[in-house]
Amino acid sequence: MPNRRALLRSTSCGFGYLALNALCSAQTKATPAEASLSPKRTPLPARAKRVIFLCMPGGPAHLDTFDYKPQSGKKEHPGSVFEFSQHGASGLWVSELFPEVAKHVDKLCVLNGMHADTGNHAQSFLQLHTGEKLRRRPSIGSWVTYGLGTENQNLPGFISLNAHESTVASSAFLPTIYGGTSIGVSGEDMSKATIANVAGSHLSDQVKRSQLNLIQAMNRDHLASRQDDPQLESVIASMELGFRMQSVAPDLLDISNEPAEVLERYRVGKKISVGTCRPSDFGRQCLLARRFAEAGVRFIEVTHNGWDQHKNHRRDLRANCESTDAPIAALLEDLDQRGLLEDTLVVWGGEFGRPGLKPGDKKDETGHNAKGFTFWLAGGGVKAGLAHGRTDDTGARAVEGKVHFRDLHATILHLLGLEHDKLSFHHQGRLHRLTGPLGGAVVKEILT
Amino acid sequence: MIFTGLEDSTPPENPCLLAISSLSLSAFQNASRHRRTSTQLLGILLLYSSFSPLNAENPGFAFFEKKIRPVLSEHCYECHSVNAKKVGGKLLLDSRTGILKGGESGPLFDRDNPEESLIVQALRWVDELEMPPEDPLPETVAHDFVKWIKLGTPDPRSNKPSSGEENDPPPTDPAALWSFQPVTVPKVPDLQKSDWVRDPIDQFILTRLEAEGHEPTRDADAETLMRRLHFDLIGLAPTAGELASFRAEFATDKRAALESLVDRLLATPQFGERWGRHWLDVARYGESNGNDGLGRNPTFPNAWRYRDYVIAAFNADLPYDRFVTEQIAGDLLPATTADERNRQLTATGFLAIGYKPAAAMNQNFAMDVVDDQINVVSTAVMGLSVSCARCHDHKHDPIPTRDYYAMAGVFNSTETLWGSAANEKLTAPPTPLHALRDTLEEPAADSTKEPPPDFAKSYGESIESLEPVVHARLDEKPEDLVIEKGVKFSSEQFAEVKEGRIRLEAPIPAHSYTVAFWFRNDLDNSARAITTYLFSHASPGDKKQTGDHIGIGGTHDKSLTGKFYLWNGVTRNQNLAGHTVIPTGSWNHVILVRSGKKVRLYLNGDPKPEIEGEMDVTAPDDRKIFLGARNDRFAPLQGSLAEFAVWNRALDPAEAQSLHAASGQPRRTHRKALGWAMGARDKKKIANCKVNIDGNSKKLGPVVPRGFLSACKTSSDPPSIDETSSGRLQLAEWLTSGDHPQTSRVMTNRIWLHLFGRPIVTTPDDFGVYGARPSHPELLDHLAHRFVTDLDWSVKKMIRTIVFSRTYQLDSRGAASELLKADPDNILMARHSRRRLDAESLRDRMLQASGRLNLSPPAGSAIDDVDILLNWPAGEAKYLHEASTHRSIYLCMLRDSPPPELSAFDLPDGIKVAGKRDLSTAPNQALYLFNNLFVIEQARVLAESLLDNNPSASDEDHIHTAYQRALQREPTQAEVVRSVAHLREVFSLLASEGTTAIPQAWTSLCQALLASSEFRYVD
Repeated sequence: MPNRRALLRSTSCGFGYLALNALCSAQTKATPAEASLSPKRTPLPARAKRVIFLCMPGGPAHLDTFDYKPQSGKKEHPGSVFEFSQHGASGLWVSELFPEVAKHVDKLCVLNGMHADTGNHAQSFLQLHTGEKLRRRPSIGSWVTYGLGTENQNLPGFISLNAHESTVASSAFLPTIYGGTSIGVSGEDMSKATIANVAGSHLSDQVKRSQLNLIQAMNRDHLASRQDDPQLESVIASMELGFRMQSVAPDLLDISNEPAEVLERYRVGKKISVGTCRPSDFGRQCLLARRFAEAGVRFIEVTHNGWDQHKNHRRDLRANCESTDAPIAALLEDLDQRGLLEDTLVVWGGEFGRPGLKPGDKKDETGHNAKGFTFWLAGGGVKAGLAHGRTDDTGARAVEGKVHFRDLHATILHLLGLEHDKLSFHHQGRLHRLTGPLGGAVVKEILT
Repeated sequence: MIFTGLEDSTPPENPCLLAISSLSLSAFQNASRHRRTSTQLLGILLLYSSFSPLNAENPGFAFFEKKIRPVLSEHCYECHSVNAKKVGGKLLLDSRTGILKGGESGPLFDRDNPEESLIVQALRWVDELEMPPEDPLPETVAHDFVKWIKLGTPDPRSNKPSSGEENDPPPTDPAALWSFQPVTVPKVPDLQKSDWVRDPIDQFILTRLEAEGHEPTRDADAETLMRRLHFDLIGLAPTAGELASFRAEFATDKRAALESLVDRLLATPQFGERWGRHWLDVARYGESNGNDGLGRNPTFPNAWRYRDYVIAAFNADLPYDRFVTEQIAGDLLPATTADERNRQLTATGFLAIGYKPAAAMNQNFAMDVVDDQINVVSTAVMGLSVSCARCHDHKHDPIPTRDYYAMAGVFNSTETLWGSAANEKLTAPPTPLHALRDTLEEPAADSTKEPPPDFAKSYGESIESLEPVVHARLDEKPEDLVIEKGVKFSSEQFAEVKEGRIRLEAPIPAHSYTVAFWFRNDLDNSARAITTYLFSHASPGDKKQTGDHIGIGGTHDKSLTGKFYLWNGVTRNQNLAGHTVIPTGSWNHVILVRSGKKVRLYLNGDPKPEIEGEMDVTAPDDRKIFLGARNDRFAPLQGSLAEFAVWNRALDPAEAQSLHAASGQPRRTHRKALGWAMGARDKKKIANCKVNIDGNSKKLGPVVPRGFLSACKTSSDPPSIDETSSGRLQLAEWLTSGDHPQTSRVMTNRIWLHLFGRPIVTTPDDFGVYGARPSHPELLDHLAHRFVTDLDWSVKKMIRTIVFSRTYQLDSRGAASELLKADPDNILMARHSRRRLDAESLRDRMLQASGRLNLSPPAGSAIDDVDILLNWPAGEAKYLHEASTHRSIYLCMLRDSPPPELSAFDLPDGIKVAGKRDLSTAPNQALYLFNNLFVIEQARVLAESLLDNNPSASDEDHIHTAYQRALQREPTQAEVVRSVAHLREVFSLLASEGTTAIPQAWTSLCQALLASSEFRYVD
């Protein structure tokens, strides 16, 4: 690209493309020290371009939501304490707690055969995010950003909203640019949460623009007197991108111009605080997720805490479902209407499930169950209106179509066009990958 | 770099994508996840049929073929055959030999008790070994195996594996093992262009350059060199004045000017702050544990001592071999002074500051700590990842599991002292710390009981003259006090107390009172959780203990052991502690004065209170005073009491002084602990380690004698480890023996990295088969050899040698375009690489520009008195990061909550050894430069100082000063014009030139200078 420098010098418009090029050219000879966020070609055809992970920490009760266990035989067995009915053309069963999501059931691919290694929250939550139960490993969002880069350089590639744990956004040994950008951490007021350093009020916007012009003029002089140095070219590009992020990101975070109908549909600002159900403003999170997805953010994780309703199971579960039902439905509806669902993979689930309660039982307390639980996927490349896998009659153990977190990870990477057994990074004497030394298997049965 | 290997070496094939963390079943689970291919199935069927003719000849064989072989092939071969991707548990079931031999867990058959056979147990899932791992097979299968064992395990298969070759990994290319070869002394090449060369370094560089048909670039000018040396050696910019005088000196005598500059920089304390930080990256330094996996992140309030040790070691130019030895075995080295002892103990913090996964639900916790130590020692010093060998022989590097456990024995015989871990046992069990002392002598182990003080005759009168509410000598049973059982009075011994207590019934005000008494505690501080409660001002039986209490710490909290503390009950739970360790058996005089929230505790007549601070008053006024035990009788004193007095007012300091003076006893001071350091020491019980099969500490293999890596050969035999010590000293001796193949090369490479930006081996933490090969192997060996022999392991001398080379002094500009094209990564070093400032240098330079940089080191750390869990969300961590103008190395390096002023620029996470930092260029860095309050503040301060210092100066003058302060140079005329234009534009945008517009415009200009690439890059 012989004209690149001249172009940079002559004008600052058309920067998106040039910036991309500058970052791309650094990438062609990239070492870990010069990692890049520019979009990368995928080794496999990509069915999804981005992921929205609806993270449900605490362990959602699969038997009271998406895993229907009708009573059969003479003896009553654990099932659900809530009513289930069939919905949509697919006739999938959904509990009464998700009336809005149920309307979109034909978009869902329900994985009823999920299983994980441990019933400890922290460890299973870590395994869900990193594949590893105890040690420091990159989170799936970091792996995806590492493998794919990001489409919109004006925004971070990986955003985590209302994160439950720092590990959610950790790049661990991957280069730091693949780490997640946090917007609010567990329990923060999401209407005020923002990206670090994204705004400053010490100078007016116009002064800032003038200042940027001065900085870039200095930078171009610096570059001009120092031959062709990709580092310095990247600096110029990154300043421009950062500057744009200052307006793009706050604009995206500012939802005041959304129609009232939309805010209502997402239940923005509705905060329920009942038992384990924390006020997460999940509607705002889902709306932001849609806006980020539209803007080309690669991996978006939103969080509603928490599903660990031991005592007061009925009351707290109802509150958790009520907090998330309408926002999720609104998100699915909008993604679909805007044609985004086609290449956006939506993932719903938590670190494990819970044992069931017998209907009519006075007992109102549940524990943890990692041997069988439910996730659902929607959009980008997965079959819609399908229930894959199943647990045994009591819902305690996955028995058919078993999907481990490793398999889920492998499948998500596969849908994004990445080879789960090849996407790796050298660290401490060996190559590491998301699916770990045991590897995972792509759940082929659910691919379109 | 995503899908393939490293830039200088492409590994042959898939490396060991194998478990380092897997539990016992990993191998089996591994293969069972892979769907068997049809060809494999076909192979099994063919095998089956090929043996069928044997059926008729032996009924046992028929049984095997019918009942046993199908099970083996269907459920076991996937992991237990030569065709398995990874053979589980070293067990092969596809040959007669294999099945008879058994695997890691031992033989499969118990012929006397077939039911007890390992293979049957595994099939039945009765014990830990559950096979196949997915689901148990029907009981009939186990029954068939029992029957088969009873038949004598008839097996028609051959003794050889049924197909395939031996399961060894492919042989490694010998060239890949370069770092295991002894360091050579390469002949320095003769060159034609010898006038260019200043040091043999240059000859090696030039030889390769010439061989590839290139020429070195021009030399850098004086200014470039001075800036480069300043940033490389001390991490700070030179001042404009320093640059001017250096230019003049350089013009007169280059060599002399450079020598005096380099020697001056090496001698400044800032050198250690720069190079110490490089080592802290390698030592995975952090001041908190980091999220332990369960969301807990305890602070390490004493970690900073190790930081200061490292800085001091580089400043003192501690020879590298000694530096390594102190960090691994400082506690085992002789010391001639207390300072030396303290320093060496602190050095072992290297082994203790690592990140630890939670102890809860982690049966391997102890071995995780050992693993961190093995990892940091081998990666930092040898550039080798030994950790893979925790679970299996290293697939490519010549590091067998046996060697791992030889080293594990060394560290398993070592007690790691990380401290209380915020008293959260689920994270890590609390440990003691190294006590730093002002004397070399160990404190007497068993103290004798001192006789009571010989009080002045007038002591009682003097006390009475201050008009106490009550005063009792306690040499006989007092009338106005209630004596609870277990107190004996005598005129010789005063009140001897054992499980007893003295009570004052009269109410004493809670907000203002004084209590004074003498006591002797006879109980050893290691005897129980709390050594004793001497005093309570509380209500009897109040389980919340509202009120004031004086205690002496025991084993519960090691930071309080033997020391006074004040506590105000469960509700407020405030603590104030002293520093002095009260020797068991000694008599001491205590005065506690409360005046509102203020509390003071005087000890033995010292006018400076042992404890002084604020503590809430927690209970109403009607409380009682208890002497000799807490209000709930907890932790009663075993010892003596005398001369007890209580006032219903706060005595002033002079009165408190007089109270002690009147006793006629000399003021006495006990040994004060100087503080605590994290570190390591030998365990009382020294033991070799057993192999942990698959890294599982509950699945043990043979014992391995303590030792080192067998593949790293030194000329003499490794030092032998005797039975009485852990072997850390011998480990250090072996590592620093001079001809250890990696130690000198690794450090040489690290030093080169920090001077050139690009190391000779581009993977400074990996000199193994998977690491990069050296770009200049002979140069590396030449320097490594010089480092050990000529330079006596002196890092400063090594730096001096390298920076005086011509290669170091090349320009980063002006390279021929063919060279740039041929060698974009500057592997040949025909020019100098331009480099970005790291996070610390960038912040320090901003503080330099604003004039706020405080070069004096701060005492301790922002968290040296904070012993807490930092839980997510990191709300608590926010306030722990205090605003500071000290150099960045002194900021609080909390893991998972790094200093916000540094975190945008690739700060290492303190979890992994990080010999080479990432150098990303990302928009979030721009955001930091645009909007971070620290940056804005420095710009504002710089702007203000321009305007304040010389109010009458012109805008042009101010611009000159701003450029000098920020970039240490004069602006060009064009730059002045551009800067003025920016100021004018800001004025017009703000439609004024008033009091708000002027500072804003100048702040904007100064911030632009700080955000410019020139500010962040060094040529």
